[in-house]
Amino acid sequence: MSPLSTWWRGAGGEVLKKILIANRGEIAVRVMRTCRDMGIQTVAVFSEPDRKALHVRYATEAYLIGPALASESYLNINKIIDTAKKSGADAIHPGYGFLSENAEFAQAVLDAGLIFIGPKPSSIHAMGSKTRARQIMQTAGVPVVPGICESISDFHQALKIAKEIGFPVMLKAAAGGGGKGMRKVETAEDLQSAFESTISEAQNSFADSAIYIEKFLENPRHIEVQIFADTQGHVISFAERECSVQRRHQKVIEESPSCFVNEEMRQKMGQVARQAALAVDYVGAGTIEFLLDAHKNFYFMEMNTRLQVEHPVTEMVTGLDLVEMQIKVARGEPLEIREQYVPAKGWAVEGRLCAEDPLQNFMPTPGNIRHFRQPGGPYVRTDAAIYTGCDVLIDYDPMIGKIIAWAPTRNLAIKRLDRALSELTIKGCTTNAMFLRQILNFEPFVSGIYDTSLINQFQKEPPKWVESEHEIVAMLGGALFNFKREKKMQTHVNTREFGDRQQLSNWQLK
Amino acid sequence: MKFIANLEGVEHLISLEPVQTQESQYLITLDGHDYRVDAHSMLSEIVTTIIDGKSYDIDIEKQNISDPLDGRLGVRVLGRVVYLEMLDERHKKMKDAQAVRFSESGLVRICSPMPGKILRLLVSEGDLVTEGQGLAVVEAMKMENELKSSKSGHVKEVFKKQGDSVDGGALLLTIE
Repeated sequence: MSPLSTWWRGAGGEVLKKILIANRGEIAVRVMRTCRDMGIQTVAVFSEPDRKALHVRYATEAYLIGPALASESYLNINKIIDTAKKSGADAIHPGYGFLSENAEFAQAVLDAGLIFIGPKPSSIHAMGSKTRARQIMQTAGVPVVPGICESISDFHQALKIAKEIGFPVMLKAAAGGGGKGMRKVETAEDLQSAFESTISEAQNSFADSAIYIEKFLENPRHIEVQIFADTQGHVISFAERECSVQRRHQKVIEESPSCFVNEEMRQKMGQVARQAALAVDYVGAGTIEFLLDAHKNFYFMEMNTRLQVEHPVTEMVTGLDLVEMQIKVARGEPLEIREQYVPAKGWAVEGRLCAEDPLQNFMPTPGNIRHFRQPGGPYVRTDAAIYTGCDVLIDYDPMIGKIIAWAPTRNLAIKRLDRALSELTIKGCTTNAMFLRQILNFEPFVSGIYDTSLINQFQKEPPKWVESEHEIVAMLGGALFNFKREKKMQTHVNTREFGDRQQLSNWQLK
Repeated sequence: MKFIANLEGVEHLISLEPVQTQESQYLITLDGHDYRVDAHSMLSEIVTTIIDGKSYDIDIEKQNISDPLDGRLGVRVLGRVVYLEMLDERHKKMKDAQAVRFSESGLVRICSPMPGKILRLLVSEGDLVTEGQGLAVVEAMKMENELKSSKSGHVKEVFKKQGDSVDGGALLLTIE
């Protein structure tokens, strides 16, 4: 572990005048926006197909770092650090995903004499292995999901443990995360094959065959606590975020605060989260993720040692800018908030906008965006990296942005987000916007009584969404569209032979 | 001009006539009901309409631009999407005739539903496949998507190979 004095280079000097953002997409733009607010110059890095991406256009400086393949561009540690040095950047912000939770990268940034806007490499390392994180948390008195804290390779031992904690159990890759590398086992008979396939999957996906066992929680809630720590040892926590609306372990809609959490739990979870941060000597923004059972018991699941996708809901209910706080902490400044706990004012809800088609099993829908109309109005925020004319690439994650709404009450915040999504218009690329609206209007979500099974429940019996008024107007519109198209087609044939059809669409006729 | 719409298996007849004396005015008859419509195109596919006094923004997405006999539309009205098929009379007749030919020849075309890369081809020419069997895995945006056979039969011809990048709608193979 590096001593604080060498880790933190902010003292006195002229630092943090220029930040390199080692990321792409909406998060790169979001970080750059705060930099602009603070008068800090920004350096974008980009892969070949990303030349026209918004983060490149928005930055003060931009440098090509490699081909589309992330391992040769956005995950290329040497190239990124070289670019930071050449451009004269004094710090690197990793965003989320890519290198954000890579201890080796954080260390390399420090070794290059630059500031890493994030925690110490040792904190990232400590939380990188699930078994290690469970050990640390248990030692610090933080409740973890019942199970073991060491990896296990002997099947007979595994069977013994599984029987002790009781089926169903979860087998999880120690190096896993983001919902990958885990398997539910219902009975002792199923254990052997599941045990073997989880080990091989862990080896294949994470190059680490270590797995462990924990109790399977039936339809848990997923609730997390944002924490912040400065270099002076001050740790604060924020009102919780509810992230139980998930599809295949990926978050879809998040809100803050949570209907499920009462004041007593809120204080307790905040205290536990701060304890967890202290246990790994944490600095900067981090998130403690908890699983909650139906009896409101909460268990530590993992700590994310970076800014989260859903951080805007916390910003909306607190009026704070978490990226600004990250930068100030990286400069060595103490947290301006002296209270241990920052409560929520009102309610905020976020929907993740993805280039995928809910009607075709959420198949990705890359393409060229021909038209983009962003929602507006009071207390609506759009964090997106798309614009009219941009390409949504097949090479990267399908999440293209987030729409967030705030209101004094939960009901109004939901309605406001629903309204904002109804205004959103994207042509050229199918998105999940309508699916988000259907969930926002789904009774269990509206009531606030839901858990991680919500989307399965919705998909079993989606409520009727389209009424006869929509159908009639759609048919009238379809007729108008076809009529105008046919007329245009005729004019084209008459005036310019059959060549250029660009005005009809950006698709190529075959 | 006459159109035939198919909405959830039910056919609807539509006739549309521009009102010659007034620009942007149309008389549309749908299943025997008359609608007076004032329509202005904003982009080629967004139309602002006033239908009998009510204002609607209609946002239309044609699912397949390259095939004139594929009339599938996604139409967004008041933020809700209605999926339907619509062809004008002439194209509808052509399509019906083609459908007859197709069912006689029994050839099924398997196309990539999206642009991406062919990660794996699971069958080769001459293979016997059953309905629902996986034929190829196409990768886009870090997600793998398996294309399944819509009928049982023999793989007649394979047009792409593993590792190829393909456009949306590209013909991958045929099944007989």
